[in-house]
Parts: sequence; structure tokens; C-alpha cells
Amino acid sequence: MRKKNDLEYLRLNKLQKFFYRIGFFITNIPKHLLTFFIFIGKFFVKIFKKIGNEFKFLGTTFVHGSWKTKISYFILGFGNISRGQVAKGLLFFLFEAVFIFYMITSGGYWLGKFQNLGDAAQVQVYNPTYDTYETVPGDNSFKILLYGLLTIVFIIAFIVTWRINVKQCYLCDQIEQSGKKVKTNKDDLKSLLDNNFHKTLLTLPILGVMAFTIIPIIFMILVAFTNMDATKDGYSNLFTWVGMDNFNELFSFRDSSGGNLSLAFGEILSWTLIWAIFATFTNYFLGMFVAIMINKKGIKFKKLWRGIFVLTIAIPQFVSLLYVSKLFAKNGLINGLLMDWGIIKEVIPFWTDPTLARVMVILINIWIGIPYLMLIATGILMNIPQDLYESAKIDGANVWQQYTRITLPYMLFVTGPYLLTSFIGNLNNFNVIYLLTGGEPTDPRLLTSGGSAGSTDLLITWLFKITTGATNNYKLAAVIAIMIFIVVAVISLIVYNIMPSNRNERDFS
Amino acid sequence: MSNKEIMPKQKHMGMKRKNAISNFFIYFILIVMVVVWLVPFVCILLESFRVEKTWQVGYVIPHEWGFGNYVKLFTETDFLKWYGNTLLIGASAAVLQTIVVLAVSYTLSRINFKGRKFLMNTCLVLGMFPGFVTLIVLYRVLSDIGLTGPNAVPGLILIGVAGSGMGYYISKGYFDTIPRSLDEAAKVDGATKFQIFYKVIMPLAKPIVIYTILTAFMGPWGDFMFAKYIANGSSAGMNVAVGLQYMISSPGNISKNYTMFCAGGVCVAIPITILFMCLQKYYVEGVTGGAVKG
Amino acid sequence: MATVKLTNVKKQYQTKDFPAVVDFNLEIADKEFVVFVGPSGCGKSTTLRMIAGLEDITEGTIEIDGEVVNDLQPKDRNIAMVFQNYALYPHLTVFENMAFPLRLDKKQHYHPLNEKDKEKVEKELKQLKEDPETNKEKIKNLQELLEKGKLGKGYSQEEIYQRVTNAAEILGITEFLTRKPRALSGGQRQRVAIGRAMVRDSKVFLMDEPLSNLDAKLRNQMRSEIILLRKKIDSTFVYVTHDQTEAMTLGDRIVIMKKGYIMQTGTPDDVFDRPANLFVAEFIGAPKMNTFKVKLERVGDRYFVYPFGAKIEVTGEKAELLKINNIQSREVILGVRPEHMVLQQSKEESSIETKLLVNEMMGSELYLHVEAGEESENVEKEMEQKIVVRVPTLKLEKEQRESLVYGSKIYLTFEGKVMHFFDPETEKNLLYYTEEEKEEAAE
Repeated sequence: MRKKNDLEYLRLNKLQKFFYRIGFFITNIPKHLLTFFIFIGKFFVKIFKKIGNEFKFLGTTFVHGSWKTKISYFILGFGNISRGQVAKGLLFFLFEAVFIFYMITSGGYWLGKFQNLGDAAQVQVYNPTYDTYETVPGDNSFKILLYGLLTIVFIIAFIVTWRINVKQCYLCDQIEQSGKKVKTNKDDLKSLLDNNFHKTLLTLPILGVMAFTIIPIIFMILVAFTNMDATKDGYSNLFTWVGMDNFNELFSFRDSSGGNLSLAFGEILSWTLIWAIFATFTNYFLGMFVAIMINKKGIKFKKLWRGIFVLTIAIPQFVSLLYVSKLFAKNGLINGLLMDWGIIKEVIPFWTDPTLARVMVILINIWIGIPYLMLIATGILMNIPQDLYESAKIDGANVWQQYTRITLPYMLFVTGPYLLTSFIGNLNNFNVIYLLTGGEPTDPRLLTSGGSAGSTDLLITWLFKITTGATNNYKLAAVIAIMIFIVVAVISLIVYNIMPSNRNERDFS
Repeated sequence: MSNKEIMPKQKHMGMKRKNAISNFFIYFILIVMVVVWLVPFVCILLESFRVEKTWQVGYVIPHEWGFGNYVKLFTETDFLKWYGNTLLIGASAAVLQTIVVLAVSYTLSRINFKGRKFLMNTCLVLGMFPGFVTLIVLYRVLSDIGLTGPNAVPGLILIGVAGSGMGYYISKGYFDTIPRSLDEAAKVDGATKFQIFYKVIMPLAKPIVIYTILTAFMGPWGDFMFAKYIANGSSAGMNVAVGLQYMISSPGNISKNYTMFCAGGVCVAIPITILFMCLQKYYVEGVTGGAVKG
Repeated sequence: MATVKLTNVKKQYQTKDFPAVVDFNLEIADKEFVVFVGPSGCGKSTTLRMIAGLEDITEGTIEIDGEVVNDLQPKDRNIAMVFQNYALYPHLTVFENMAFPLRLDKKQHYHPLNEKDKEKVEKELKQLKEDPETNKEKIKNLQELLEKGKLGKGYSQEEIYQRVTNAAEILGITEFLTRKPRALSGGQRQRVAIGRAMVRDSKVFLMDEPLSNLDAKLRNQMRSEIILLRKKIDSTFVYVTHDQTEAMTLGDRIVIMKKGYIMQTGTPDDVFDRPANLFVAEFIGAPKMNTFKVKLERVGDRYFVYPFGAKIEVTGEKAELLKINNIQSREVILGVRPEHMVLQQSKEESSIETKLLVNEMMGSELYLHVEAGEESENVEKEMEQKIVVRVPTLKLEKEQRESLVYGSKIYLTFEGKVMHFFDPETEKNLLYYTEEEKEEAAE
């Protein structure tokens, strides 16, 4: 498809423009794919080149470096200590000592077992003295997996530290060659408040994320390739590597307990997507609508209206959600009142009818979400330059046209990133679903090896059931977590690429 | 001549009337909405004073009023313990989490260093992974250290603070709006990066600091999933959300404890709401200034 | 004493394809006022920010007072800077804003003695002077102490107070010292920003478009104040602006830049009277210089140009220079400034016949926008046909002025000595005024 130039494009009418864009997008898919693969290829080439350069750097530094540097290759921190940076050098050395000690005492053990996650489970041994069976602990797959992983992380950390140490010696060599003075410990400490201030600020947060987010995530990804579950908990029964088996099970339309995992996953995924779309956009537009109403000229008590809505943000969600959930229960207040007033004869199955339950969940989410969206929208609406509206009025635009031509495009442009994050947040919106319905009503078709799933279950609540339920099907949970990750990543990528406000963060300042 | 003068006047009247009608509709919608939004909370308040037990009654205004639910809540359940737990978690989060979030967002917004983009992208990717499956590991690790069950509070604080660095978006958005020339001016004036941070930017970031403290403090009151998992059914380690849900979670308990649950909800909601009202201005500023730009 | 020297400075942003500044060479003498001027995106601000240390230098060196400062932090360069948007700290009062750099400064400085100490030292000096031979060393030390003051770290509150109030006095902002910046008008904020730069004894003053956020009237006022200020501060100034009027009125020397390259460096007279190329010629002076592509004819030792059919002889210095530079008959771009255009009563051999398009009454002057030659479809040609004439209003009778309406015929000419000649290809000035320029061209 030939790309039209700007002037040609302007001549098209709306429909033609639309088809032109669609056609253009489709015909360009191969090109995009190609650039994507080229990018991947280049990326790997770059990585390999980097690694090559790294070895070259290490080699040449060793050959051409001073004797202090050479010794530092084996005794970390030697270069620093011999140049007067005692404290820093000692830290390096201490790290090396701890590392070696750890590797000898336990690191080696964990790494050795890591290959098949242990080979002897605990056994019951008859103890003739007391005439009882005693449990003799064997290996613990869980611990082996965890500590094996930690050991690997530790090794990587050591390599990085070693490399920093070499680099520092290299720099010191260079400084000494040029006849200048090497920085003292005091200078280094000072720079932590100046040039290296970002390191000061970021060290602890990054360590925290490393320890409590990244390592656990890697661990769970590893679990997806094992057969860990309630029975194979790692000590009474060992678990081990099973390769892609779990993924195969998810996609083979039949699982070990006779349920249909693929069906369940497909059903729940599609409801999750529907839910996320509705939850995001209903809130977005209705919140904007409320904000516009309150902002309208001539409406009094603006602060009061806004205040009442904002107030509801303050009340913890679990109170309001649990209360509302009971409000609409079969024998809850709403049904009771309606019966008393004689409006209905039979209770309305708010939470037991699958479709009704889904609608209710979306409606109540609106109730929860509107105040927040109203706040955001108010802030943006006030920022829209008034002269835009004035000129539109003079051009003859009515209220609706002003909304579609000015307010909406402006809002979409500014809130693009927010929409994406709130969409992803809704994909993983645990609280609303869990507290309102707990995933109910149960769907008999969705009975799987991970336990049963319900009509309002999102992937995330399903995951919760799988991990906390009777079967504790961790391996399945890990696989599903990876699938959720893939879904979210793909959606984010697509949205990011077509979003109009895909702009530089610094444009605003 | 006279016709011409009347014409615009009539039109003016028309506009006014149209406006009045649309305003009337808006007031009407707003009032309906306010009722819908407030009724559940009023109901909770009323039911918390209801003396009659059982939850499925077909009326809102109690037939018999009394403070019995509150008395029972504080004497017969662990509510006070849960409340204390939550308060402790909230207070620690307000201090520690705020420090972490501000440190990360400030750095990513205003300091240019190698790997800045990489860090932000990593956070983005990590955020796509459903964090809570990692709980299985975290639970195991925490229970090895002994921070689960009855000792869940420090465990929850630890996990909350450790991961909070990833929630930097909103405050980074706020920092991004402070003109960069201020940093440059301070740099030329001889300030170190630390001095720029605490002498120039921090005093200007008051709204976002208060916003961060407020959200960090309020978070634990609604925190559910993590808290429930880590408390692992031990009443001493629960926060209010888990505790109150635990109180009514099984069908047998619900009719017994329903009014008490309402009382608990009121006890939680009132202080938070008052706090929120006082700091509302900053909250709004933080949300509208930061959320969309992050 | 503060000189600034830039040698082969280059700036390449990683995200851009073209360098922002290319091969920038400049020596700024002590106490000189240098103005960087050029259209937006020409690299003038980038160069200034490199001097300040706010941008890294990709290649080349910058020296301040003979010391290479490439790797020095801004605070170690001993500079002061005024920003376009003032960059005042909103949470601090005017006093604290101005005191900010002083409070941060923990380096060694000479502090003037207070009255009491002064008396004491003077007394001691007197005593010592009774025996000048033995106390020679001591006397010298004490005299130095009296002159320069005591050496010590940072500034005391009293000193800060003195310095800030002094600067405020000079700038006329004393009454605002306790206010916050947001309570000030634009002009007052600008003064505070200048004051903040003034309080320190900086070697170099950098100003990045300090007046461009002010309205026209205030800008004129502040401009003259900066000229006065400069007399008082007596330091080296580097000033960036896009406004050629500011550049001409403020600068000892002007550096005209375009797309990262220096187009010309010279005094205001230099760049106005002897523009190095067409760009400088058109950029300096308002309204901009009229240019025509014409034929230059050499007849013996005489030169003629033929703009739009008129025949005008080159006279005076320009004719001499043409001869010296040995220019033959050729195509040239002829430049004539609007104020050098002359109205004629009737058509003569030297007249360009034009049609009036717009008559702008500027008060003391009239700007006449006219169109020369036949009407043509060619857009490019049309551009060249437009001529601006600047006539002092007093030179014209009232009737004459009233007859200047759209479409009326006007005969124009210009004197032979006011022409500029540029090469149509290279756009360089064809005349070399100095020996150096000639040598450079010969290379």
C-alpha cells in the first residue's frame, strides 16, 4: 500500500481515512515484524559484543595493569588498600571472604542439589527404644530451590563486585599514570551526597525490590517448571523439574483430575478482559461526566458535591465492599425491603445468577471508582484553556460538540498513560471481586485440578483460590502467573504503540 | 429599531431558561447520586447501633438502639488488637514507605544517571507480573524467620516497605512538574545534589509528601490479600480488614456478628475519614498533579 | 581577572542527528561583555550552558582564567548565572533567594574587617611603624589584612546581610526583601535573579535570555539598567539573546551563530558595517537588509550594478575595496539597508520603479514596503522583489505622506557607497576588509 502524503490524506473523508489507516496498519504488519526481529537480532549481537569487550577489558587490564591491580584480581580490595582507601578496600575484601566462606560451607551444597532438587525425602524410621516411628528429615526441595537460587544470585553479585573492584583499580592506575592524586575515602563519602547521590537514594529501595520482588518472581517462574503442589510439598514428598509439562497440561484441554484447564483458563481470561474493559471505561466516562456536571458554570456548592464524593474514597474498601456484598445477598437488606414493599415475590439472585452477578460487580465497581476518577478529571478539566471553549462557541459548536471535539480529545491525550495503568490494575483487581462475590457463583464446567472457579472469578482471584485452596497447586499457579504476565505485557505493548500521548516524559516540564 | 432591541433580550431569556432546566437536571442527578453514594454508609452507621441480632432484617432503622455492638466488639473480640496492628503497620508505612517512595521518585525524576531508563522499564515489567503469587515464597521465607501468624505485623511492614519503591509513578509525576531550571540555578549557586534535594525541591514538594504519607497510612486499612495470607488464620496477626472479614466470613457467624461487623466498620471509617477530610486538599493536589503525568 | 577561552568546543546530543554546536572558538577578555546572538536553535544557549557546566562538553576545552573547567562542577567554576525564567526559589523570600549562594559557599574567602578590628589593626600598625625595619614582615601582613580582609570559611550572617542589602540597593528592590517571589512582578523578579547572581564575587556572569520574558517597555528599561549595572559590577559577562537590538546595544563584542556555527564575531560596528556573510547582514539591523540578485559590471576602474533595470554606480570606499579585491564583472547578491534607500521625485536612470504595498507609520519613521519590477507568478522571484524603505517622517511633506497609498508609484534609488556585495553561491561577503580576512580566504 502506497503511503499517501499529508495533503492527499487530508482530502479523504472520515470513512476513507479510517480504511486507509486500517489498511496501512495491516500492510505494515510484516514490516513491523521484520523490524522487531532485526531489533532482537541486534540486541543479541550487542549483548555478545558487550561480553566480548568485557573479557577483552579484563584481559588487557590484567596484562597492562600495575602489580597492585594484578593482585586485586585475586585479593579484592588490595588495590584500594594499597592506595590508602582502606575502608573501601576492607569492604571489598570482607565481601570476598564472606563469599568464599559461604560457598564452602553451604553454597556448594545447595548448588549441587539444585540439579534435581534433592534425592531423598524424609522417611519414617522405627525407633525400637521408644517403640515409635520417628521422622528423619531428608532433603527439602523447596529449600534447595530457594537457596540454590539465592546462591546463584550471590555468585552473580560477587562477579559484579569483582568487576567493580577491577574497574576501580584500572581507574586508579590511570589516575596515577597521569600524575594526579587518587580520591580518598572522604571524597568518596562526600560524593555520595553529590555526584553519587542517586546511589545513596536508590540502594535500599533497589535491594528491597531485589529481595522481595525480583527473587520471588524468579523463584515462581522456576516453580512453573516443577511439579510442586500440596502433596509434593518439598519435604514429605520431593518435587523436581518437569520441563514444560505444566504448560502442556494447561493447553491440552484435559488435566490430571479430569477437568478442562484450557477451557477454564479461556473462560476466565475472556471474562477478565471484559471486566477490565468495562471497569476501566465505565469509570472513566462516568467519572468524567460527574466532574463535568459539577464543574458546569452556575452549579452551586461545587466544593460540597466534590467533598461528598471524595469522602467515600476515605472509607476503606473492605468495609464498603463487604457491606454492599451483604446488602445484595439472597436474604440481605435489598431483597428484604423489596419483598416487604411487595415489589417482588421471589428474591433476586444478585450473586447466584452468573450474568446478574457479573453486571452487579461492574455496577458496584462504578460506585467504588467514580469518586476517584472524578477527582482526576476535575484537575484536568480545570487545566483546559477556557479560550478553546470560547472559540468553539463562536464557531457555533453546541455542548455535545464541545465535549467530543475539545474535552474528550484533551482528556484522552493527557490521561492516556493513566488509562493503561488503570486497565492493568483492573485486570488484577483482586479486592473488588474477592470481597464482593469471592468468584461465585461456581461454574461446574470450571472444575479443574486447581479447584473450582466461578463466573466472576478473574485470573487473579482464581490464582488465589489455586494457591490457598485444598490442592495448593503451586505449579499451576506459577504457570498462570506467567500467562497473566504475558497477557498484560502484550496488551501494554499494543496500547503503548497506538496511544496518541506516547510522548516524552520531559515534554511536560 | 425597537424590534432589534427586543430580539436579543428574548434570546437571552431563552438561554437563561435553558440553562435553568439543565441545571435543574444536574442538581437532580447529583442529589440522586449523593444518596446512592451515602446510603450504604448511613446504613452501616445505623445498623451498628441495632440491638436486634441476625442480619437479614427487612428494615434499616433499628427497632432498638444501643451501644452493645461496640461494647462487645471491644471486649469479646480481638478487634482492639487488630486495630492496634493496623495502626502500627499504617504508621510504619507512613514513615518508611514515604521515605522509599520519595527517594525513588525524586531520583528518577530529577537526577540523570546511567541506567535510569533501564530501572524504570524494569519496574514497568515487574509490575506486570501478578505480585501475589510470590507470596508463596515470601510466606515460606517469613515463616522461616518467624514473621507470620501471630507475628505477621513486622512481616507485613517489611514486605510493604521493600516493594514500595516500585510505586513511584504518581510522585514522580509531581516532581516532573517542578521546573528544571531551579535545579540548575541551585547547581550554579553552589548546591550539592543533596542540598538541591532538601533545600530546594523538598520544600516545594509538600503536597506530594503529604499525599504519599496519607496513602501509605491508609493503604494497610484496606490491605487484604497479603495480610490474610501472612496472618494465616492467627487472630493476633490480623489487621482490621482481615479480622472483620474473618468475623463474618462463614454463614453461621454472619447472623451472629453482622451488627458487630458494622460497628467495626464504623470504628475504622471514622478516624480515617476525619484524617482524610483534614488533608483532602493535598490529596486532591497529589492525585491531579501526579496521577496523569506519571 | 577572568578570561574565558573556548577551543574547538563541540556539543552533540545523543538523541539528535546534528551537533548543536560545532567547532566553537572564542577568547573572551577580562571584563568584556560578549553577546551570543542568533535565531532559536542556533546553539547559543547550549554554548552558554557548557560554560556554566550545566551541559557536558562533547569535544574541545573550555578554560576560565586559564584553568580547564571541562570536568568541574558548576559550583567550582566560580560563575553566576541568570536564567530566562528567573528560576527563583518559590519557597524562599527575596532575601533568602539572594542569600542562597552565600549560605552554601563554604570556601575560603577574604572578609573585610569590621570597624572595631580595623581600629585595632590600625593601632597596631602605627605601633609597628615606629620601627619599620625590624617589623617589616609584620607590617606587610597587617597592611594586607587591612586591604583584603581576613581569610575564613564561608560568610557570616552579618556579611550576608551586608552583601544582599547592597545588591538590593543597587537594583532598587530593598522594599521587597521580605516578600516571596510570587508576590513580585516580572521585572522585579528579574532584578532578584540578577541580584542573586551579583552577591557573590563571581569571575564570570552568564545571562541566558534574561529579558525575553518581559514586555517590550520593561525590556527596554532593564536593558539600560544592565548597561549601568555592568559599570558597577565590573566583571566578565556572557549574554545570550535572540534579539539583535539587545546584542547591538549591550555587547562589546557580538558572536552571531547559526545552526551551531559561528557566523561572525566582532564589535557591533563590525557586524553592522562589515557583515561577513549574507546571514549576518540580514540578521543584524531592523527592518532587515534588502537583497537583490544583480549583475555587477566592471568598466575600467568603475563598477555598476543594475537592480531592476536601474543603473547605479558604486562609489566611495566600496568601489575602492572592489578594486583592491580585484572583483570582475559577475553576478552578486547586492545588499542595501532600508535606511539607505532614497525616494526620488521622478524617474531617472538610477531609479527603481516600484509599487507601494504597505505604509507603516512608526512615528519618527515610515516603513514603506514596496514591490519592484513586473508582476510575476514566480514565488521565489516575488520574494526578491519586495523592498523595505525606511524614511524619517520629517523628510516628507504632509501631502507627500498622504499620497503614499496602496498601489502608488514610487521611485527608489540608493547611494553608491552603502552597498554590500555577497557571493550568490557561498553567501560570503565579497569584500575583505582586513588583511587577516584576505589571508584566510586565500587559504
